[in-house]
Amino acid sequence: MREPHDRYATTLHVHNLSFLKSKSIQVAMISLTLLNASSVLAANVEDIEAGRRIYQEGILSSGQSLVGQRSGPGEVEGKIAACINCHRKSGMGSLEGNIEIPPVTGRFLFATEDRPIALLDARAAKNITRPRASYSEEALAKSIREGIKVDGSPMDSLMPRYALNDQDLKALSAYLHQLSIELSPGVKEDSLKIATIIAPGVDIKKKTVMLEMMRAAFNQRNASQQNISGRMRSPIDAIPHTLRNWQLIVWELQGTPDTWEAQLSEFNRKDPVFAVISGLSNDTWAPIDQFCEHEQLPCVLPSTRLPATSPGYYSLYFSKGVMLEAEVLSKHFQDLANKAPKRLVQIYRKDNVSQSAAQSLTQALKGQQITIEDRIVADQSNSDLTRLFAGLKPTDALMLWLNPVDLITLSKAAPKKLAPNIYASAIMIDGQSQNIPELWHAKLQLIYPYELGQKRQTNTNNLTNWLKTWQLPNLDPIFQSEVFFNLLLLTDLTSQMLDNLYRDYLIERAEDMLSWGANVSAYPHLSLAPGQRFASKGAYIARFNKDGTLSPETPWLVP
Amino acid sequence: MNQHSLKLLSLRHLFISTLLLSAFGTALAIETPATTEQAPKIERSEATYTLPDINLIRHDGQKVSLLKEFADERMLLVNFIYTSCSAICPMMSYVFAKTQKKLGADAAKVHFASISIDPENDNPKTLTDYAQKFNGAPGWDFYTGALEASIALQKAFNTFRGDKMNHALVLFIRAKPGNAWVRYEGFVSTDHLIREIREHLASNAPTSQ
Ligand code: HEC
Repeated sequence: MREPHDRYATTLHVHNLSFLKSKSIQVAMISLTLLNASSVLAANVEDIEAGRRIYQEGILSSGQSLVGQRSGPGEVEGKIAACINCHRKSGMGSLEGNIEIPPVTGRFLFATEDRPIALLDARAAKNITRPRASYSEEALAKSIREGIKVDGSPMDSLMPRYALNDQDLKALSAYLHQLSIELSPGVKEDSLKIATIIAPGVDIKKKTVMLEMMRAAFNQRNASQQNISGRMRSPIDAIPHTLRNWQLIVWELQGTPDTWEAQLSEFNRKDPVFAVISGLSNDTWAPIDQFCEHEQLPCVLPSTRLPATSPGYYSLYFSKGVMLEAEVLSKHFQDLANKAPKRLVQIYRKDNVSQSAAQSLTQALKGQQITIEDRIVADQSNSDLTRLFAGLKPTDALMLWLNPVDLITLSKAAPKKLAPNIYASAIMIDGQSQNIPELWHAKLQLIYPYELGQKRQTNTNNLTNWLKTWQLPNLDPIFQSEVFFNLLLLTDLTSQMLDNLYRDYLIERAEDMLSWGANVSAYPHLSLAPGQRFASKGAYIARFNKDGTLSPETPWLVP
Repeated sequence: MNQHSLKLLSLRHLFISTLLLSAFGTALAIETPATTEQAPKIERSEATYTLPDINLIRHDGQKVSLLKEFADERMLLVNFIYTSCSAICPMMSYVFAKTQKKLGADAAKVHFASISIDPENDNPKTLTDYAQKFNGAPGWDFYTGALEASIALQKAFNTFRGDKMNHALVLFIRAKPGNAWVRYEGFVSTDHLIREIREHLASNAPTSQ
């Protein structure tokens, strides 16, 4: 099993839903000896803050910019010289190309406990962490100022040398000593608490199937773990607590969005969780985003039509929702050039989602010669409905930001021969084309931010099979594929994070690994990177085929 | 397949990574020898690549043909970057910027091309902002476009590694149209690059007059 020439790592082939291609995974461990506790200086709060500024912002305690020297790649200064660019916010480092950026957290640099520490990266060609002695203050100074590692060897040319004065060095050291030193809230000896959030007013069937899927996956995962621990005799015991039971906590919100943040804070205060995954809301997600930012709590890929406009660090989204659709339609009009409509009439209700969608479109169309007229659905009386469709010309475009029920009502009231091109939001009909009245099939185009046709079917096959296995219904394929994606992601993330359960590290690993392996989602391509918060970035404009299926009218448009 | 085996199958698929941990066990306990740091290595090779006939979007927003962009007489330097990449790409871009500056008047004979491997995120605006961060001068162009176009180009240069995070430190030089490409793997310093460029310029000179 073990390769004789390689004494400190072993290669295994992994099959996993999201790594359908087999991948080599190698793991290495550093076993650290007990460090003399007295050498760890009691850090003072001011030092830690000064250290944070150097680490995250590249600003020295004098207020001047941090400067890093490099023989080959040249000098870096200020923000781009900051340690966070490479070692990341958690301090856990990363792997870029074939360059390993090692962890510089308190635990990894200065062990204060006789506890093994391991790091795992599925892409590592060689072990990402190598055993070495702990850093003393002098050794740390030498590494940062001279680029000499604790074992006396010179560092890779990527790591800059920083001529820090004693005060800044002390501050930086104080910061590193406390960085990712304690496991995050929600992580217990034998459990890992994960929440999901349900906003009021969502379809009860959707809510039910989501919770059933999550519970099935959590149970399945915990059961598989029992099997392991039951017969565990292997040295993996050396990494304590890696096998934690997953516990699902459901946070159900009530009332209006302005009260959600307080409700969530209260939930999390009473019973803190490690992360929030998935979630469901027909309304804005912005207050939830704010809560996640406040609590520094990862909120991973909720199913929402309206994410925050400028998300915080801790919230990741599948896409920009209806705001993306607005930008895609604007791009489409731009591509149409002189065939673009002269006037755009938007029909919508006065709710958060539709209003934001309409505003985004108005904003996106600025600079194009298109007049915009907003028509708001009111009481749906005959006169109201007549007003919505009055005076439309063939050179107009009609944009419907409407849910399925409104679409049916309106289609019945609309003139038989509706002049303009009609566009509708796919997100507001859950991506399900059967929600568009047949009457409009010939005229209407959907802004469609999901994959279409055979590719979509292939990608979501795993979900279909999994649902069959657990005898769960497939009521809302796109929504359920989002939930499913989250469950797989959580499995991959936690298994690769090993015992390094820090919230920041979860976000970083998600940024790095979202696009790996086979795509099991309803989106053509999901990908994040440091600072990116929307994983899917485009949409098709799609038309109905005779049989009611959809075909792309345009290539995948990325605004 | 009956219900039961399906269940087992999906169980294996979904949670294999958890199971894996026990399989790793033996590896973890092994003593590990001290490592010696290797000096950064660069590898130079020459190769011919057949470039795809694709359209790209230049950082000024123009839709352009790759083959046309790469057709003029200038020497061509190509690298692959993305603007969200904070560790390696800034270093590669720094070298392009510094090289362009240090070449002085000769810079006009060299076309620097940085191609995004995260084209859905990198649009003309983000690329222009990025170029400004490095004080890129005219003659250094950034390209984005459809994801498939970027992948096709990475494949043509044999640099596609499946995901942007796996991008390699690699750089390509073509002295003039029709010549073979010089491929550099690893980190190439500014001085090294300038030496190579000047050699090519010297050998280009007689034929171009
Ligand atoms: C441009 C990327 C980059 C930046 C910025 C950077 N580092 Fe590093 N750092 C690295 C790389 C790469 C290594 C690995 C070097 C090697 O092993 O040869 C490293 C190694 C280290 C090590 C040694 C870790 C070990 O396991 O021996 C320490 C300590 C360290 N860095 C601290 C810092 C601090 C503090 C800062 C900010 C003041 C910083 N680094 C900024 C890339 C970077």
